Amino acid sequence: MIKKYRIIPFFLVFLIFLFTGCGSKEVESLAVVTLVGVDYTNENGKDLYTVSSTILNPLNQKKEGEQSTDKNGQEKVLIGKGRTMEEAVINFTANSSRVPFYGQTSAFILGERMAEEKASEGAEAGIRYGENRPKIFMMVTKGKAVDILQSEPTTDKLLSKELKDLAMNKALTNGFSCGIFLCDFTAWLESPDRDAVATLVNMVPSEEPDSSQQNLVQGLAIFRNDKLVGWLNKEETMGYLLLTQKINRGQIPITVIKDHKEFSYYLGTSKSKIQPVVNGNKISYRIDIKTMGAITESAVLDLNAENIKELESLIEDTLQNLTMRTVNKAKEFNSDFLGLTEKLHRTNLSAWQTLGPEWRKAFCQAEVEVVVDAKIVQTGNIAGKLNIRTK
Amino acid sequence: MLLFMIIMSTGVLLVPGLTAEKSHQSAWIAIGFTSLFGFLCLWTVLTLGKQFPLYTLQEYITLILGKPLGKAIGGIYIVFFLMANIITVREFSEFVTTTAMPATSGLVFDTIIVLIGAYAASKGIEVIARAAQFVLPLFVFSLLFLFICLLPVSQFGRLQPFLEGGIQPVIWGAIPPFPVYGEVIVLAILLPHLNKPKEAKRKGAMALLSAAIFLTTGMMITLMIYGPYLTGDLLFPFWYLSRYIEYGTYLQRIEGIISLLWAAGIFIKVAVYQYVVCYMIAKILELKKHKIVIYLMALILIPSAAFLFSNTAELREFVAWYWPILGIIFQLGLPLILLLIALIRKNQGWTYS
Repeated sequence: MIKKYRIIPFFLVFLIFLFTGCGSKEVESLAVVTLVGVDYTNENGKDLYTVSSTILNPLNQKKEGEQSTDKNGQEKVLIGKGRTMEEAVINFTANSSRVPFYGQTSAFILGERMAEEKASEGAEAGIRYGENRPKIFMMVTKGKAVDILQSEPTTDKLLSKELKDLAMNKALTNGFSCGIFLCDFTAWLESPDRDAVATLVNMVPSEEPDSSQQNLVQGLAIFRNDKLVGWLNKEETMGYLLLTQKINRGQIPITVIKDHKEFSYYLGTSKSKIQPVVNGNKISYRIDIKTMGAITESAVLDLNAENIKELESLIEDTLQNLTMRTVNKAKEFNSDFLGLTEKLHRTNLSAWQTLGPEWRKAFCQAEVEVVVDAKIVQTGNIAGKLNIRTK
Repeated sequence: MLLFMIIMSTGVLLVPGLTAEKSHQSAWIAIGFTSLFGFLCLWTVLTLGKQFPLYTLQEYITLILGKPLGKAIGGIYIVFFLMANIITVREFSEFVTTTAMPATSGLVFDTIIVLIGAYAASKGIEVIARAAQFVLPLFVFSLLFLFICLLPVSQFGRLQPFLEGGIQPVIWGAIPPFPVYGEVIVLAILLPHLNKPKEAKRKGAMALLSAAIFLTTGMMITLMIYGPYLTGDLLFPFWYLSRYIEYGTYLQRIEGIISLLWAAGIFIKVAVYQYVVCYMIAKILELKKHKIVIYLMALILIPSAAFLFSNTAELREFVAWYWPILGIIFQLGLPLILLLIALIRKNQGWTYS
């Protein structure tokens, strides 16, 4: 008889992990949060936060096996305001009978003013709350985050999925931007030697006939310490990607001009190496970039071996110009989001120690040399040039 | 196996964050370096065991220091082991409430783990060791899986600069893991129970070395993923590391399984400590069986674990500063003094009766 009960303690251990806990979080009562937007204003000297979130709309979910092409109403936006972020969160759930669950959140979107003044609070709340995952994307928008959350997806059924897929894959592959995880963003904010960037998402006029506006993940938000200080446009972002990211399956067209005619260098892979050079008190940086790509559209060029060498040299000049624009922008913002000082700190400790709190000033004064080695490795199905009669 | 489980089960919880907070990118050196103290503890305990082969810690304390002082220090050791168990139980409930069930009272988890530990302790050390044989491969697998999944996305540059700030941050960072490695002190009670005491030296060293390798590797990967500053701010960095694993939509959210395996490891540790405390109490009170005190001890253990620390910050501070001091005294200091006295007396030709 006693032997029968021996199983009870082990059963108890397993029960721990099957309990829902005391928070009434039954699956059918959850409001699954997919995006969180945080806006900040200061009214009459008092902080006011607006937290908005999209939740999967329980009223519009199809039964198993049913196909739906309707992209409207799949997600519902809840908005709350409060003097603290926590108060705003509670207020946005006040009119919902469901319990919010943040384990499926794809991205945190900070409004412009929130990013300018309270970015660290946003990051801290994101990391501290237990349900949030470290690989949530950190995004910033020009204007208000709530506007992004209220917009409709363009090609997907869920706005959250569309933004996540854009940040995770498309942005870097196409050279528009890159996804920044919450944990990396927070680590940068805490770091003593580099500044942070976040993915920029904006609403732009739509080219689709059935919608007036669409979201565009393009560009980056630039921080100095924990404050938003500016933006990188498409070209500057491309420079950032070349300088800092390892691009593997890129499909990035780089426009190059030869003899007043434009053609595209289709960049496929890229990797970079930053080398700090310390000469006495003078610090400079050499950045080597190696790219490989193809030329897949060229009715004007004869792609023979000799010409390819010449074209590679032109591509190198173009890429160098792109990257130098980004370096100059970083100096203009007094923000080392490229991680040059971080590299100096890691590889030449004594030089870093002599900089002390003046490291940003040293970064702005440092000479940066970018050396690009661009290769054209493919020319498509045509060896040289199609001999098309024009007369 | 038991020794490895005792060291690792709580070594993966609060300690990595505390070490990284003090040592930043040198935390992996600090956590590996501290294992040397663990080897010193092991050597001390085994040498004492060699001097008094058939006696447990509290018995040879009485032989070395005399009955009144010996009984008193033996009693203090009981409190020390009880405290170690209280911290283990509380770390477990903090871990579960923080990571999985924040709305549930920690008292629920304290009660469950203590009752299961008490049941295992009532069955004896062999039953606990057999349970450890089952849990150990799963525990090791959970860590290996974690490391293998995250190694490809680790950034080696985040471990640089090497030894920034000199050796000082490493020393500060080495303080919190000290009592983790020092837990080899339980061998001082368990040594006479071993059926192959001659293998204790080799197996003890293997357990310590394996624990040091796993903790150091885990620390390195955490630093390479989250960087030195964020790692130092996290409460349970290794667990947060498991949440980083996301390969597409087919491999993600595995932290639940990992938590389950870690919980099984903590259960082994709680059971061993409950056994050790009750065995020592039974000896000191000259009771025939230690089972009588097991459930009474559970009644002390549950409220102590639940109410001794009023919040997570208090527990973290205690584990970071006060517990290592107690660890240095009871895991290394006192055994070394005992060994010294025993060796001097041996040279003077004393015989113990």
